Amino acid sequence: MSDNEDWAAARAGDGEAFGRIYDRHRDRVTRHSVRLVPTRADVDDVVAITFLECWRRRDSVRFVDGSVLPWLLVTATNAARNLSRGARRYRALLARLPATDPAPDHAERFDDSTAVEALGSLSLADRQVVTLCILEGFSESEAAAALGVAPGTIKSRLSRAKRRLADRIAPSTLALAEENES
Amino acid sequence: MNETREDALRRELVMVATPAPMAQRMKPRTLIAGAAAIALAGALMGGAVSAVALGSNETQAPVEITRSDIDAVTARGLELVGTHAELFGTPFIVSGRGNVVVELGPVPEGASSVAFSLTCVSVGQIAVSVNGGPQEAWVTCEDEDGDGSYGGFGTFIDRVTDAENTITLESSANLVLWASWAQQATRPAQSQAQIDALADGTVTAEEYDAGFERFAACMAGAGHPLGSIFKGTVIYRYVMSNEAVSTGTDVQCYEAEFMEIDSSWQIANADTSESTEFLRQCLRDNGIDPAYPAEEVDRQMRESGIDPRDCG
Repeated sequence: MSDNEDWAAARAGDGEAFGRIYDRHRDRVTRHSVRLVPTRADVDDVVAITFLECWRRRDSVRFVDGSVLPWLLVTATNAARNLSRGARRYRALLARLPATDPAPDHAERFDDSTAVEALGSLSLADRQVVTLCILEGFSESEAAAALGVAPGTIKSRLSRAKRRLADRIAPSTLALAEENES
Repeated sequence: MNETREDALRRELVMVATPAPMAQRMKPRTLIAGAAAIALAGALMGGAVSAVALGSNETQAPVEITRSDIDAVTARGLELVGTHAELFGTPFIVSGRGNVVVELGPVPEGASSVAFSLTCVSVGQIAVSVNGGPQEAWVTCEDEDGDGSYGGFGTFIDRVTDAENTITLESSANLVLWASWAQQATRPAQSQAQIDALADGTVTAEEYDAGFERFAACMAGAGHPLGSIFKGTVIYRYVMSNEAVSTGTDVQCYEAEFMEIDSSWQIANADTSESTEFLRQCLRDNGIDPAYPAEEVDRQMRESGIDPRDCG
């Protein structure tokens, strides 16, 4: 089943369909969140808040080519930025989730600490574009659809973000990022 | 075998997306009236909400603001204050850009902190520091939703001195700041009964009802009994006096006995609850097409000025 189909089922009252959306995108959202916040506990909170926000804001969720993933990544970036606010909103629910197994999960970790640091220095708008277009490999038009802005806006934000990143990331890393983008 | 966090989160998400047969009580609208009462009191104390731009640095640039900018920053400040603090004197309202210095003077007797809210009037970034100390906050002003609002920030500043007090803003955005001396109320601790009800991670209908009863008993014991209590099979309704709000009794009793239980229950039941459907029907009766999300229904109720006590 696609996100679209599961989403329609969930909106019709099938909670399990929302569970399938979580199953499908949990790992990507987790991997992205690792770039955004410093500790595993924060990553766990960002992931939970992202999916809870997905349901709370279900009237405004955007699909790109039938997938909710770009919207989830954007929401995770927002959730990481406002982690304390999100954690307050869902405090009771987060408190009753068990802690993650402390054993490190190397599959979710990767050495991009320079990029993580640089990403944190960008404005939220630029961070969203870099996340979608450079780190996650979506096209400019897909990013535009996920963010609800014109493709030209994505292009100019991306250009601006690259200029800012260039000051902070070693040339080899940026080249890799650009290769990934194309 | 213990449930993993991922499995537990999945279970919660499935539950959140599954319509609940039970409903939560209606939120007390008198809380809104309480905030308005504080706004009036503040205005009366000083005769008017005055605009006092005290920035002395020559790099401060004047900016044009509108009445709605002042209303927005005031509303944000009063929302922050709610019933959690008592205000002293006339709030400061300052607009500016660049280096903005707000001289608050010495702490008035009885006050212990500054209630502080700022609203961005354009894109940019704002750094906030107090009494020459390290940066207290860093605000990025953006129009995230494309609706012409650029966000803002509000908090209580506790690091004040008996002598002069100064808030310094370094801003590339146009901004409006609202600040008032305040005395924050002591936050009540949760009662053991509320802690026990939450211990297993699930709030049952029985625990919800027991929590509500403790809340009602606490209010009555403090001399502000809840009125017009209606406990249907799925909807709890009640009203409280303005005095209960203005004295902070509602916050003390609600947080001690019922807030976490209520919050937990409401998160699990928000949009599909019969109380939200009750409000939707009320909107229909008033010729308004109701939205689906519960918070959107709340907004429609507020904006249309319908008192839920007049519904049904």
